Amino acid sequence: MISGELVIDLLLGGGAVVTAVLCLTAKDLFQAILLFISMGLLVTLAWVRLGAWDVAIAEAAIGAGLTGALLIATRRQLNQ
Amino acid sequence: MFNDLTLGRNTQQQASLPAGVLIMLVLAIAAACLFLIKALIDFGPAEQPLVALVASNLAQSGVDNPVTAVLLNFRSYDTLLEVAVLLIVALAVVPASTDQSKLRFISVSVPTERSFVLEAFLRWLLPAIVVTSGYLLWTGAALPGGAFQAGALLAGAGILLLLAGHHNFNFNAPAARLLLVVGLAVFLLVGAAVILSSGTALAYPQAWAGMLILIIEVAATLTIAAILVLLFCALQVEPPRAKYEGPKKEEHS
Amino acid sequence: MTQAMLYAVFGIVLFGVGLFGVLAIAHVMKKILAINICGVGVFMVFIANASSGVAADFVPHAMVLTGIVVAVAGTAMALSLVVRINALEQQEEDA
Repeated sequence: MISGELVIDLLLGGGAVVTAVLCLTAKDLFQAILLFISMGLLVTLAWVRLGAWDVAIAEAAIGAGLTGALLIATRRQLNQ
Repeated sequence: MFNDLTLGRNTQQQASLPAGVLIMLVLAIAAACLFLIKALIDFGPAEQPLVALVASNLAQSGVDNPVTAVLLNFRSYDTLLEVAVLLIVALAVVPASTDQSKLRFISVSVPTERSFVLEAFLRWLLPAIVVTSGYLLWTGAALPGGAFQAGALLAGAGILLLLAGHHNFNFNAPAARLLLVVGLAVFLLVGAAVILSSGTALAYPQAWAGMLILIIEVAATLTIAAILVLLFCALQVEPPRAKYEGPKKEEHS
Repeated sequence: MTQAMLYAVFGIVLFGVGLFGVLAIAHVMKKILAINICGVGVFMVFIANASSGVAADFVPHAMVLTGIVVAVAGTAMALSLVVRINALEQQEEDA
C-alpha cells in the first residue's frame, strides 16, 4: 500500500535529483542556474517534510535566493 | 582533468573527457554510492544520545528553540568560527581601494535605466522585509528563525535596493567596516566577558543567557546581512584591470 | 523503507551526481554548481539521519544551518575568483 506521504517524499527527493542532473547537463548557463535554484526550493520542501524548519527557512533565503542572485550576477559579468 | 577549465556562455563549448574515462567515472561513482547506501541500510538508525542531552539542558540555555540553543549556547564555538569565516571571505572580496574610505556608506544617484515596477514594488516590500527580518530574529528564541535567517532576509532587501539602482554601497566607508566586524567583535567580547562570571569562555551565566544570546544575534544579523550584500556588490562591479600587467613577456629591443 | 532512509538515499545520489559534475564538467561555473549539489546531498544525509529517531535531533540541524551559510560564503569566494580570472583573460585577449 503506497501512502500519499510516501508519494510526496518520492516526488520531492526524486525531483531534487532530476533537477540536479538537468542542471549539470543544461546547455545554457542561465538555464543551469535556474535549475539549481529550483533544486534549492525542492530541497527546502524536503527539509520541511523532515521537520527541519530552521534549515528550511535558511535554505529558502540563502541556498535558493542569495546563491541564485550571486550566480546570476557572475553570469552577467562573464557575458560582458 | 583540471587543466582545460573553460568560462563562457555556452557550456557545450568545452573539451570533454574521452568516453571511456566518463564511463569509468560513472561506474566508480555509482559503485561508491551503492556501497554508501548499503552501509546506510546495514547500519540502521543511529543512536542519538544528543537528543536527550539537548532536551535536558534546554531549560538552562536561555532560549526555547533547541536549534538556537545549540547554535548559540551549546556549540557556540561553531557559530563564532562561522562568523569568522564569513569575515575572512568578506576581507577577500572587499574592494581594495583606500581612497574611497572618506566617502559615505550609502550614496544616492539616479540610475541610467529605471525600473518603475521594481521601484514601486520596493516601496512596499523593503519595510516589510525589514520588519519580517526583525520578527525572525526575535522569534528565533522560541520558534524556527534566528540570526542567519534574519541576516539573509536583510541581505535580500539590500540586494533588491542595489538592483533598483538608486543606492550604492561603499564598503570602504568606516560605517561599513564597522558593520562587517560588529558581529564577530560582539561575539568575542561577550564570550570573553562571561569568563568573569562563569570562568569559561562562551559559558553564559544562566540568568543572563537569553539576553546575551539576543545581543550576539542582533550583532551577528547585521554582520551577516552586510557581508552577504558585500559579496553581491563585489560580484557586480568590474574588477580593476589596470593593476595587472599580464604575464611578463620577454621583449628584445 | 522509512522516510529518513529514503531521503538519506536521495542525499547519497545527489552527492554522486554532484561529484560526477565536479570531475567531468570543464565549465568552471558548472563545477561550482556541482560542488553546491554535493553539499546539498551531504546536508540531506545529515538531516535525514537526524529525523530517523523517535525525536528529532537538533544538533545536526544546527550544523547544517552553519554549513549552508559557509557554503554560500565559499561559493561567493569561488565566484569572485571566476570573475577575476575572466577579467584577466579578457585583458590578455585585448593586449
